[in-house]
Amino acid sequence: MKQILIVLFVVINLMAVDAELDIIRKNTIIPNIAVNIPEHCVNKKLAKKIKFLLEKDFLVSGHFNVEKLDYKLDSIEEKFNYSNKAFNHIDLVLNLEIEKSSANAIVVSVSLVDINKQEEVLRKNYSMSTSNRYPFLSHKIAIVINDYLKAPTIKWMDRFVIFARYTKPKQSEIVVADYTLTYQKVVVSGGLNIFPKWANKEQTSFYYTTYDKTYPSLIKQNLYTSATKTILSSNGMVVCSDVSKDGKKLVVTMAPHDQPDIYIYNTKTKLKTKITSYKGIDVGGNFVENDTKVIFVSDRLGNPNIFAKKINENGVERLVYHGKNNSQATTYDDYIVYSSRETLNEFGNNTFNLYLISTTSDEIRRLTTQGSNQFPKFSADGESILYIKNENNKSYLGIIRLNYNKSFLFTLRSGKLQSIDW
Amino acid sequence: MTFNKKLLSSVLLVGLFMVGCGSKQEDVATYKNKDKVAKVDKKVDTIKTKKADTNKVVEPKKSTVSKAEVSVIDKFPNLNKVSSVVDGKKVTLVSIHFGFDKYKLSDKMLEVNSINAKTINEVTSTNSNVKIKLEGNCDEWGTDEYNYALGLKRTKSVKKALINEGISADRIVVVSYGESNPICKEQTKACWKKNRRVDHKILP
Repeated sequence: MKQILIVLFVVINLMAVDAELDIIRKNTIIPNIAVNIPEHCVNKKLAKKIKFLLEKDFLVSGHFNVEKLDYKLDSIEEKFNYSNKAFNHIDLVLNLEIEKSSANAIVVSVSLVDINKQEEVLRKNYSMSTSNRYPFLSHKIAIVINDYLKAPTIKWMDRFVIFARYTKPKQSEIVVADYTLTYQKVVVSGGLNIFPKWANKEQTSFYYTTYDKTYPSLIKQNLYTSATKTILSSNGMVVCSDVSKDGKKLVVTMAPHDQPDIYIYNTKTKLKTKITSYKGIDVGGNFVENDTKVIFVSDRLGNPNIFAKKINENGVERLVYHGKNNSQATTYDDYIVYSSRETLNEFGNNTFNLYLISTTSDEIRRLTTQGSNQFPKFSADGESILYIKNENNKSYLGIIRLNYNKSFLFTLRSGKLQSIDW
Repeated sequence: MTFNKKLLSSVLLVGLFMVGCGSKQEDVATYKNKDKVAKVDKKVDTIKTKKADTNKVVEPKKSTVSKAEVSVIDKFPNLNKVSSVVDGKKVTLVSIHFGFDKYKLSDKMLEVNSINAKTINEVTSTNSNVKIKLEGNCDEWGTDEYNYALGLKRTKSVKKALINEGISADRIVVVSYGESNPICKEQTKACWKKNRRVDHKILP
C-alpha cells in the first residue's frame, strides 16, 4: 500500500511539473505543405531564393510541416494528377511562378492547392520593382497562406527589424533588415551611432544615439527621406529605451550631471521628468501598464536587477527575485522576459540567459540555455521574443516562438550586434 | 659573366613573383556582406552621418619624451596609456582600470590617479585652455546600455578623484563608450581586464 502511495505521489508531482513548465501549449495537428516551382518559371534562381525563405517562414510560424515534393509541373495553370504517390503525405502545395523578370519589374504568381480537396483554393499575383526585396515578398506570401488557414497571426514577419552593429572600435552602422537578416539596408553609417529605436508603429522613423556631435545626442531620422532632427543632447550618455504607444513620450537614460538616470521626455512639450534619483546606475526603462509605469534596471541592491515605478509616484518595487544579475527586461501584459547572468564565474561559457516570468504568479521559465543572450524584445502580439545572441565570436538574431517552444537563430555575417528593435 | 647575369635575372624574377603573390586578399566577410546590403532603394536612402569624432591625437614625427613620461611608462608597464600632444610635447596619462562590474578606484588606481593629476597640473600651469576628456570603457560582458552607464560611472569616479587632487571640475568632460572601444578582442581574462578602463585625453 505504501509503495502504491509513493508511486502515485511521484506521478502526480511529475504531472504538476509539466503543467508548470508548459505555460502555454496548443495541441493541434498542423498541415504538411510543399513549395513547388513549375518548369516554365522565369528566373528560377530568384524563385529558389523565395522558396527557401518561404519554407523558413512556414517553419518559424509553427503552423506548418514543410515537405519536399517530387512532382513535375509545367506551369501554374496545369492541373495536378492527385493520384500520384508524390502527394501521399502532402496536404497543401504552394506553386510559385515568376512570370516576368526584368530590371525594373518582377511579377510573381502563387497558387495554393488543397490536395485533400483536390482543388486550387487561392491565387495571388505580386509585383516588385527590385529583386533584392524578395525576402519581404516571401514573408507576405507566408502571411497570406497562414491567414487563409485561419492560423494565429504571423504579421510580425513583414515588419522591419532595425539594429546597430559594431564594425570597428568606436564605429558602427545602423541597418534595417527583415527578421531573417537576408535583406539588409544600411541607413546610418560613419562614426558611432547606436541604440536605434522605432519612433512609431508604422516604422516610418526611428531614434538613435550619435557620438558625432560635441555631446552624445539623440537623433530622430525619417526612414524614407533621411531627414534628421536632434531631439536631446546630454553630457555622458543619452539613450532612448522605449516609446509610448502614442509616440509622444520617450523613456530616456541621460546623464546631464554625469549621473545616469531615467527620464520621461515629452516630444510635444519638450519637458523632461526625472523618474529615478538613485546615485548608482538606473538604465533601460520600458513603459508598462498603459504607459503609467516604468520598469527599469538598477544596481541599487548591489547588483543589476529589474524594478518598477509608477511615473508620478515615489516608491520603487522589485520585480525579479531570481538570479543575482539581471540587466535587461521587456514586458507584454503581465509577462516579463529578462536577461540574467547565470554563472558565479563571470568568464564562463553559460553566461547570460533569458527567463520568462509572470507578475501574477510564481512561474518562471528559462528560454535559452547557452551563450550570451541579451536584448530581449516582445513582438507586438506578445507571441514571440526577438533577442541578440553572441557565441564563439559570432552574433545572431534570435526568435523564440513562445507558444511553440521553438527558437531560431539567424547569423549576422559581419560585425557584432549592438542593439535591436522591431 | 653570362652565368652570373642569368643567376641575377632569375633571382630578380623570383623576387618579383613573390611580391606579386603577397597582396592581401579582400576580407571575405566584407565581400560577402556587400552582396547582402541592398542597392539604393527609391524609398530608403543611405545617408552618411556628419564626420566622425575629430578629436584625433596627432603624433609628432620626432617625439620628445620627458623623464616624467619615461617614469610613468616604466612604473606601470601593464596598464593602458594614452598620449596627447600639447604644444608639441607628448603627454602620457595612465588609464584607470576597474574590477568586473565595479566603478570604485582601488588603492593602486588612486596612486595612478595622483600621478596623472600631477602631470595634468604641469600641463595646465602653462596651458590654461586645455580640457581633460575622460572616456569610460567596459569589457564585453553585460548588456550594452548598462555598460554605457557603467562606463559613465567609472568616468565620474575618476573625475571626482582628479578634483580631489586639485584639478578644476570645469576642465573635465566625460563620455562613456560602453563596450564599443575595446583595445583587445581576445576571449581572455587579461584582455577583459584591459578593456575595463577610463582613458584620459588632453583637448587643446
